[in-house]
Amino acid sequence: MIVAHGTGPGHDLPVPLFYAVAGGALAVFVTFLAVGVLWPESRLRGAAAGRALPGLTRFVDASATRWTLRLVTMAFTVAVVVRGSMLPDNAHANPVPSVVYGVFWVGLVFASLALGPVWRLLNPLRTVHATATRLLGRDPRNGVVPLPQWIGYWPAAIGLFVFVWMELVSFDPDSVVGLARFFTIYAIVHLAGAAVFGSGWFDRGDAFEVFSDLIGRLAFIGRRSDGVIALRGPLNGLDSLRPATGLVAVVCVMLASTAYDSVTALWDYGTVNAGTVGLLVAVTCVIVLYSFAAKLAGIVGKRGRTVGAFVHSLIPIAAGYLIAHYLAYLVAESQRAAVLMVGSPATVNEKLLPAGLLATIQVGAIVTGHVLGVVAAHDRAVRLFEPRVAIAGQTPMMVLMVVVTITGLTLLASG
Amino acid sequence: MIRLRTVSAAAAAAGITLTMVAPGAAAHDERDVILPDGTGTVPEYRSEAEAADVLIVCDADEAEFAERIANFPADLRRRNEAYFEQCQQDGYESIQAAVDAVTEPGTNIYILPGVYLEEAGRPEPTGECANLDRPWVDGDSYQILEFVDQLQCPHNQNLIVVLDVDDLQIEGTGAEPGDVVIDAGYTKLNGLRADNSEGIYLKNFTAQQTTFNAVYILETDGFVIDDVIGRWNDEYGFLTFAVDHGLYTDCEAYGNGDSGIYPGSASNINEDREYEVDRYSVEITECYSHHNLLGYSGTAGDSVWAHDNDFSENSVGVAMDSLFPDHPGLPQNHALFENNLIYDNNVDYYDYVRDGTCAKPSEQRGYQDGVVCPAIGVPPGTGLLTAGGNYNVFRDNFVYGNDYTGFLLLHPPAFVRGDYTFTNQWDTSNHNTYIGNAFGLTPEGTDSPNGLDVWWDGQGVQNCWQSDTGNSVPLRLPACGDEPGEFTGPQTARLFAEPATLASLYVCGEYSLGDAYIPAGCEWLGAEGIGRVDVQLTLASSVLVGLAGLLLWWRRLRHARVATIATGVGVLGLVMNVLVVPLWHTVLPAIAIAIIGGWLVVLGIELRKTGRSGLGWLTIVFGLLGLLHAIDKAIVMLPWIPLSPAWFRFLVGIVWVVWAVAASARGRQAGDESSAPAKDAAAQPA
Repeated sequence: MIVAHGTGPGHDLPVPLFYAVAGGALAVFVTFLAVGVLWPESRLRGAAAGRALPGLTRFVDASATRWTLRLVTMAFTVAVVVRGSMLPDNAHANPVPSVVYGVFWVGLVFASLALGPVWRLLNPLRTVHATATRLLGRDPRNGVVPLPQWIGYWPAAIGLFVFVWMELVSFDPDSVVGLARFFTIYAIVHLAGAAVFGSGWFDRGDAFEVFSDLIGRLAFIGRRSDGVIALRGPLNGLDSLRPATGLVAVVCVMLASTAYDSVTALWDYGTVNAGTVGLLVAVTCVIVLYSFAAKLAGIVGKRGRTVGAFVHSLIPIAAGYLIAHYLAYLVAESQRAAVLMVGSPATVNEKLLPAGLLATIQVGAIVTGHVLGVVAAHDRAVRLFEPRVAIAGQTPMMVLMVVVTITGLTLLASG
Repeated sequence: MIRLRTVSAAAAAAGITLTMVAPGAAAHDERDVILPDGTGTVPEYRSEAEAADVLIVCDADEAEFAERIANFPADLRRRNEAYFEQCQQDGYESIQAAVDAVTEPGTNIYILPGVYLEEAGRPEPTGECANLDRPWVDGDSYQILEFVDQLQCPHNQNLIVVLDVDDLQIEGTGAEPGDVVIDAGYTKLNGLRADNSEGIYLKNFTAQQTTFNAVYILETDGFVIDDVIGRWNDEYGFLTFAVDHGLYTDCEAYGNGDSGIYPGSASNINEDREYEVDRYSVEITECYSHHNLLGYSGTAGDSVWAHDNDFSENSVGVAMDSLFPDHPGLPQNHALFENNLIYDNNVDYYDYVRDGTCAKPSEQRGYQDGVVCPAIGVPPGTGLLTAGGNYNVFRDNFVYGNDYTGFLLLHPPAFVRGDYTFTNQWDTSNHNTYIGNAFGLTPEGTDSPNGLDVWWDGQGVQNCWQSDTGNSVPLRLPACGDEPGEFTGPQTARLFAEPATLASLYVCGEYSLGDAYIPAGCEWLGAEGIGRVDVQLTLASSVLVGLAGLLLWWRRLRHARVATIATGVGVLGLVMNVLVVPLWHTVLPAIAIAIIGGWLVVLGIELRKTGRSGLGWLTIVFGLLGLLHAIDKAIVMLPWIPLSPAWFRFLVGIVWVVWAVAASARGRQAGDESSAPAKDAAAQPA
């Protein structure tokens, strides 16, 4: 890849790094105290919340809209494959790496933040599956057998892990052949999954749909439980997420991948094997730390099964780090993708965003993510726990978030 | 590969006690070097009659030369006239040509009055020399060259170079050093480089206008810099590195962006000793270093004996440290500074960074007019700064008129210099002795006070100060006996400075000349009042403690008269705590902390009466720690504890604030075992 992730020198920040780190940690701490005092009862209504937007719902749900979006995405996918196969396997000449990482992967974060779970509408695999089942005269929702509960989000967690492994650890992440191999296998696995379990497989099994869905919970629009698209706050969107098998793993892979990327910017593991172990260790560490904090919260709050209950509070944190980590990358690689797709002689301006503005957005995204996480966790705690232990019960999560804020901002500035 | 005065990004990110962070533009990387084995000797001045060979350099026509020597004393003028006549027959037009013509040890090169631009050494390298396969550093501005590269391409980095030539004496024949000038015109890193040249003796000339060092002596056992001026360089007037048996005498250095005199990595001959030493590796005497960022600096300036020098009107008079990676001989140790004048080091050059002067090319900055571009972030107004060093002795110096502090001692953990061994993290700032110095008095007896006489971050073991030290931070210092290694009071062994001090040091450490970045919040670099990070931290912590305390009082204790009065006093203490931060050398901060501590103790006792035993005890402990902190600050630094009570207050305070808020908040929701007012209880949901 051409552009490194992360912010680079801390001097890009408009304030000394110490202020960013201490201010971020303080913001999380003060938010925790403030909601402790001012937010004594649960206020979030999750999927029931939001002002209905019936016109938008009709438009989005219209068959014409859906098939237009699917066909446009499919046409673009085909165009990328064709163009990619015609050009040398080189990230400076071939648009495929920039399209995959810059437009698709990173773009998905920002598109989902703005519009909700957009990949569900665009996913070419869903299009292929829907077309095939229609041709066979079957309902796409019905597979051979229903999707077992125990599978949960695990396929998505594994898919996400493999993708970030390819991006961050593999020997040549920009190899067009490697990318083609990955997406071919990916398509076969998930089309097979959908054939067996129906289109519900994509909801839980397709890493990119799950990724987009989780990030999309932070959008200001979302679908209510009655199916209507509504205007609602990100906190309600987060609250609408129900605990499920494998969900913790998916969210922790999201968090751990940016942490791994930042750490390896400082300490190069050197080999793919060592990098693989490193990524696994990073994911394990995040899972263990989160599970420990959530479990401890349950013990203090005298309530069982809390590990899944707080995982939604990690999503804004992960989103904050993804924005911070990939914003500059998105700006540069989306330009490169466009230039290489059309064969334009135009040059890529990698510093389109002023360094100071970029750093400010990055720090702001991380701190905002943590503050949202604290509030989401607080609301869940006062709902789950007895009032007299509600604040004490969420203290472990707060401590974890302060530690992660400090570590994350420091790593970001060092990367 | 050695990195001179630079610091790793990782260390900066980790951010502990980085007081001097060299910017990219000022970093200087060098090949791996080996400290001399110490078998050499300090060379003696050699007369012409004693020389094995004599070579003469002249660079002026006869009329111009006659004008230059016209005002010389008669005998010196005649001597120069004779040299000039001889030079016309078998002399050299450049110094480098003469150096290249040396055939035997014991040669004297005489440089006649003139300005030596050394045109042959100035051009950019071409051919193979332009394509050496060596790593580029400092924004690709220069390469790390090995000794063989210096032999092959002597002028890639040097205007004049002396490589592996023993017992060479280079002497100007003018009446004073300014009569013979070697001017690099900012075309080269070094004006004169002597590399592996044992016994080199430099005398009576000026070297100037380089992008690093006017004079650079490397990996050499035995050298003298005698009556030489080094001025107007981006970094150092004189840099001697990995040397032994060295002598600086009668030298002068000014207008240098880092330091005038830098005996870095002087041979570490006393590393296994304690207070007693047999000899020193470098002696510096009768030198005058002024109007630099630092008069003297010594990263790994080991076993340096500096006496009878004048370090004045710099930003910092003297600095030695253990901050920068890859310097042989770290941590710094066993320097002896005695009978020096260290005064009026108050020049603040950072405005030249702010106004863009230092962003210009070196030759356009106006060094000749007094501009200095600070290579590192230091506290202007400091007499002698030690940022990591052991067994240093500072005695019988006159230290006066330094507006910030006379002496400053602080601790950088070893990882800052790239040493991640756990047991080494506290291996600096130990066993330093400050005795017999005259504070705030000129040698003539006139009053000229320092801002503080001493500022110490409190870290380290067996550091001690003379009992007549005036204003100091901390207020009470461990006291020395009459000799190094003797103590008259309790000693402390703290692992870290107090939290606010660490934060201040960290923020100041983010300074970067290359990025023209002067961190906000750094008192050293201009922050005042609420702009200071230590004031801000005190304000933030006071607000948090105050709000939590007030909330607790309002929800739980507002009907208890004693608690109400105590809370009022406590709030006043919190306000005072913020206001008196700049008066750190007085007892006022300790009084404010004691008031807060007293309030919390009363609050805790009252809480216990309401049945809140756990929170009550924690509040009492939090308050008692405050009282202990006040004693530590104002009466005596408490021995035997590894951290200042400030750290315990900080950590307990976080828990207390959370608990206090939780205890206050829950009252609105659930039944409470305390005697909270019925109104609150009624507000609780069923």
